[in-house]
Amino acid sequence: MRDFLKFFIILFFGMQIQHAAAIETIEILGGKANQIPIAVTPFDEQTLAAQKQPQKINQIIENDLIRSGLFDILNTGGVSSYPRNADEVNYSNWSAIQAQFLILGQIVSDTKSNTMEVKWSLVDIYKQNVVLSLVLKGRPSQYRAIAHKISDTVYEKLTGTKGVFHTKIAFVKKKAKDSYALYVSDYDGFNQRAIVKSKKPIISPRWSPNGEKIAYVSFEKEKPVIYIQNLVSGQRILLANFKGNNSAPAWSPDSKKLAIVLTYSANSQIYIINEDGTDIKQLIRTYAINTEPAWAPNGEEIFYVSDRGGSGQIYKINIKTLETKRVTYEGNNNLSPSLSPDGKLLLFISQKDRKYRVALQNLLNNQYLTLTEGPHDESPLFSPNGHMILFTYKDYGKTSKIGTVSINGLTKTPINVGSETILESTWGPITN
Amino acid sequence: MFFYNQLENNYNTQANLFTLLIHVGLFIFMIFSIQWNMQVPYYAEVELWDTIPTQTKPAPIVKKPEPKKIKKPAPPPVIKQEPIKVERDAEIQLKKKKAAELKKKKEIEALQKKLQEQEKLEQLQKQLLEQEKLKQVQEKLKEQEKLEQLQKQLLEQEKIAQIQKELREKDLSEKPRVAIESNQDVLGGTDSSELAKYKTLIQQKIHQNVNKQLCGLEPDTTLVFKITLMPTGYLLSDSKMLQSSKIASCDEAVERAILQSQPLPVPTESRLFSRLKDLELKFQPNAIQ
Repeated sequence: MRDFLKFFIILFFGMQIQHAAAIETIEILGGKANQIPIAVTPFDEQTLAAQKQPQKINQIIENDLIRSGLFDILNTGGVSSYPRNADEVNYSNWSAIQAQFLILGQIVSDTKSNTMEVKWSLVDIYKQNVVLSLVLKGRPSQYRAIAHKISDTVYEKLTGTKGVFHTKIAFVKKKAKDSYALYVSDYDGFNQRAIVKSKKPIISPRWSPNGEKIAYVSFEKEKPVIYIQNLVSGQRILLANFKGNNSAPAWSPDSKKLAIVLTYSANSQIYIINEDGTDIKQLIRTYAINTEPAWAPNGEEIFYVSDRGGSGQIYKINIKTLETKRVTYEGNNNLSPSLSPDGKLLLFISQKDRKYRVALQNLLNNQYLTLTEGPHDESPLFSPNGHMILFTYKDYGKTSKIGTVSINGLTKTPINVGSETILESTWGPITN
Repeated sequence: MFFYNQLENNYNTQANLFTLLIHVGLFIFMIFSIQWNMQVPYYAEVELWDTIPTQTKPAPIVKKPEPKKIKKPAPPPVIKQEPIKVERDAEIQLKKKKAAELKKKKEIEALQKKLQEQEKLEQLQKQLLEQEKLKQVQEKLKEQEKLEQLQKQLLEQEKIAQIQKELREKDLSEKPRVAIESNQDVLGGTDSSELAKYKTLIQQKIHQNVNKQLCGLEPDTTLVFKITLMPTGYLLSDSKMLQSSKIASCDEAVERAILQSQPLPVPTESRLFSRLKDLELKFQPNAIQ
């Protein structure tokens, strides 16, 4: 009896094992620098404001997303009809052109109150649902600003990082041999206006992290001195007019101090000064030239260029302990350092084979990568979200211009602010 | 009678127990050892359409051939007919000679002109041909470059597949065989290599679509998803995230990569498919490949 029972038990347990199959695992290592395929249809617009605009709202959004380098903007020309709202979306039309997302919208204007209302949606073509559906209201003069707001919202939703399409840049324009001006414009070059005009050169503009002021070097006193312009009041103060040259202002992350370069007692050395011009202290004192300071976002270290090793290389110094380390080793000269907002990437100009190119170094693993071809690139700075780089470039025989390159190196786009010579530029902070 | 009952009672408990046991045993046997509802019926999914959907392809860019500039041939020279004057024969003959020579000259000039125009035409045609050839060569070069890139990628993927295969085979050979085993493993060799092949195909397809730009810079960022497949290669339902990367845009990008990779390559043979229909996908987007 007992044996009979045992036999039964073993039999049905045995049959259990036959059907308990283990689940297979697949490991997928690494990935690609893919661009998200997205389509932006022309919005349904019935406003006079739209007719006067040099670019339609969908074009502004497309240009923003293209410039970021993370999106592949699809041509909507082949699609038979444009939906005006999320209910009208025919998903098979859009999956046929390989779109993963779609932006669409409608603008209605009220001439009495002089306002316009923009209803727009972001649609997921794979999952066939609406990701975002929002309404923006404003005056017709805010047409571009509303388009940039839509780009920012979509960018943040899909990449998890804040967009910078609403931010401003400042740049120096050389109109003639004795006519220089510092301009402020939208990050894409539209709506530019001059805030400083001078007969002598203006160089090294630097926007403070809190967005209130721009520091710059001016030659109006026949030698380089540093001014700080208050963007709200329009007033400026003379920050540094020490004996010798005063140059290369760099704001601390809390906008309270600046690192500057003085040739006060010797060759170029780095000092730290309060933003109201008080309390100057020398940070670095060596026999070599030390210049082009840049603060790390944690406020504890300053990166700079020194020729103590025989050529220009980038070093970093801890402000409290004064411990110094060399950072760059590649190429002939490495100049113009600046740090990404998260402090993990070092951006600089690498000179090799007589070409000056924009380069990145990952400070975690010291991997090095060039982003541009040169031949004469200068003054690279990160966008406030660290995803784009603003820099000045000069082609052989042409005037110098400014442009952006996406951090994955895939998209280089000029910023069109006119045909004059554009010198250095700086990027204002995120303000929303 | 009474005596008989007493005898029965002694054996009763044993007998009752035994009957109970047999009943329980049979009951369990009935429920557990007979297969029911364990295998997914091999079905095909069909979408019913009443009209064929129109897919609008983007209009192909057709370049109109440049209109060839053809000059009209010069009109044939008009032969003037001079009125026949009564003159002396010699003069007439001279004049005839001169006229003939003129004619010849004009004809030669006309011919030369025609030749020149023909030459120009031929040159234009040559130029157009050369341009077309250049374009073709450029296109071919581009295609070749694309092919080479694809080949490179395939080679790299094959290398990874090789390494994975070797590791797996090593793994299999090291595990001791368990006494109670399913039929499939006993049949052995060909099944496990087929399985590995499909796993590699699935890994390659999904890998192409993982957008690692949205996953930050930390090298050990890891995600795990569980999916269930249909025999068509499409997901049966939404994928399930078992481990998040802690970065929302990265989680979404990897989920999109899985969706974008449909239909996944799956075996048509139902027994092999049943081993692949539930999969666990482990991602490390920032790992160095």
